[in-house]
Amino acid sequence: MNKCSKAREVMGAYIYGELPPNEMKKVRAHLDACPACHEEMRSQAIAVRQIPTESPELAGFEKERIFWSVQGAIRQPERGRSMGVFLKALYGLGATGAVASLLVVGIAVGTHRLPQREQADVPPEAAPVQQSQPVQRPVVVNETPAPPPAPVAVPQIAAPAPTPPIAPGAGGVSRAAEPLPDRQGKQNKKRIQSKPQILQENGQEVQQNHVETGSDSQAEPDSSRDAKPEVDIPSATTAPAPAGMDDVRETPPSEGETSSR
Amino acid sequence: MMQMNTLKTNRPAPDDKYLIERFMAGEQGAFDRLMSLHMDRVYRLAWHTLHDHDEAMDATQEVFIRLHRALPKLGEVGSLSAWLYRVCLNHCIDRKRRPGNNDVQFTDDDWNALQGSERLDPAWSAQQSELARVIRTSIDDLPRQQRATFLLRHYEQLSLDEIAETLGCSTGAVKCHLSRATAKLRDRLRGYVGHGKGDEVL
Repeated sequence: MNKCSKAREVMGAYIYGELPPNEMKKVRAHLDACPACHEEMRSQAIAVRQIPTESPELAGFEKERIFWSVQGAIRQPERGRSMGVFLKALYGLGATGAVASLLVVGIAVGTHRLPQREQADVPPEAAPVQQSQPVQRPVVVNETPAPPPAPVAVPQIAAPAPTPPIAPGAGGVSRAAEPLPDRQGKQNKKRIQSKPQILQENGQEVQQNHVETGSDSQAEPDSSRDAKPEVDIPSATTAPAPAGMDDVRETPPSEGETSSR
Repeated sequence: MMQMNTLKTNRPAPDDKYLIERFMAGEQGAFDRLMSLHMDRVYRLAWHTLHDHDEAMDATQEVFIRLHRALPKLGEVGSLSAWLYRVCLNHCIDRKRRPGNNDVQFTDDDWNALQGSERLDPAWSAQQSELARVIRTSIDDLPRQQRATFLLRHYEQLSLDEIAETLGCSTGAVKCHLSRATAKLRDRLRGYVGHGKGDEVL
C-alpha cells in the first residue's frame, strides 16, 4: 500500500520518462507486481497521449509585429516623459497660433481689399505721400495697370511658400498649412502699409520675395526674422505624427538612452 | 505552420548571460537578440494557455515589455527561460480570468490545423473538435500549479528540475503536481479517448 501511494505520486513523471533511471526501475518493478497501479498508469498514459503536443508557429511578419510593438512600448514612456510637456506647449501654441493667424488673415484680406477699392475709385492715401508731385499723381493712378499685377504677384509669391512647411510633416497638413496665411497676411499687411512704395518698386519687391521663398538662408535678415518662428511652429507641431514612426525605426539612437541606465 | 516539439528547446541558451550583460552595459541590440531567441517559446506557452492566436501574440508582447523593465533589476538571473515562462504563465492565467476571455472557441479549423489533417469528414471533424474542447477545458480546469506543470512538461518538454526552477518549488512537488494533473486529465477525458497501448512511457 505504501509502495502504491509512492508509485502513484510519481506516476506522471514515470509516464513522461522523467524519473532518474534507478527510480524508473523501482516503479516498473512495482507496476509489474501491482495490477491496480499498472492499470492506473496505463489509463493515464493513454489519456495523455491523446493530447496533441503540436504548437502553432509564429510567422516571420508576426514576429516582426511583436518585435516592433515591444520596441515602441519600451520607448514610449521615455518619449512621453521628455516630450509630453513640450508637446502640450506646442499644441497650445499651435491652437492659439491658428486662431491668431485666422484673425490676421481676416484683417489682412479685409484691409488689403479695401484700399484697392478706394484706390480704384479715388486713391486718397496715395495722394498725401505724393503731394510733392501733384502732377505725377494722375500718372501714378494711370499706371495702375501696374497695381493689378501687384495683388496678382502676391499670391504668386505666397504660392511656393506653402511647400517647405508641408513637406517635412505630411501627417499634419492642416496644422502646417494654418500659419502660412499668417505669414502671408503679415507680408500683405506690410505691403498695404507701404502701398505707394510697392506701386513704385513693384518689380524689385517681387524679386526679393522670390529669393526669400527660394531659400531662407539667402533671404534678407528682416524677412527671415519674421518668417522663421512661423515656419518653425508648424514643423514642430506636425512633428508628433511622424515622430512615432521615426522613433520606432530609429532603434540605434537608443544607445544613448540605454547608456544612461 | 505547425511544428512538432520534438526537441528540448527550453534549455537555457548559452548566450543568455552574455546578452544580459551586454544589455546592462547599454547595448540595446542585446535585448533584441534575447527577444528573438525566446519569442517562439513564450508564444507557444501563451498559445497553449490562452488557445487564441491574437491573445497569445499580445501576451508575448507583454512578457517582453515586462522583461525589458525587469532586466536591470533582476541581477543574477539563473535561467532567463524560467523567468519568461513564469511571467508568461502568470500573465496568461490572469488574462484568462478577465471577464469575456473565457469564450474563446476552439474551432474545427483550429483542430484540423493542429492535427495537420486534410480530412474533411464533418462527423470526424466534429468529434475531434469536441475532443479538443474537452481537452482544453480539462487543462484549464486544473489547479494553477498542476496546470503550469502539465503545460511546461507536455508542450514545452521541460525537465522536472526546470519546471521546479520556473515555478519556484521542489522537484518532488513537481512530480506530485504532474501525477495529479495526469490523473485528473485521465478522469476528465474518460469516454472521449480511445483505447490503446499505455504501457510505454511517452
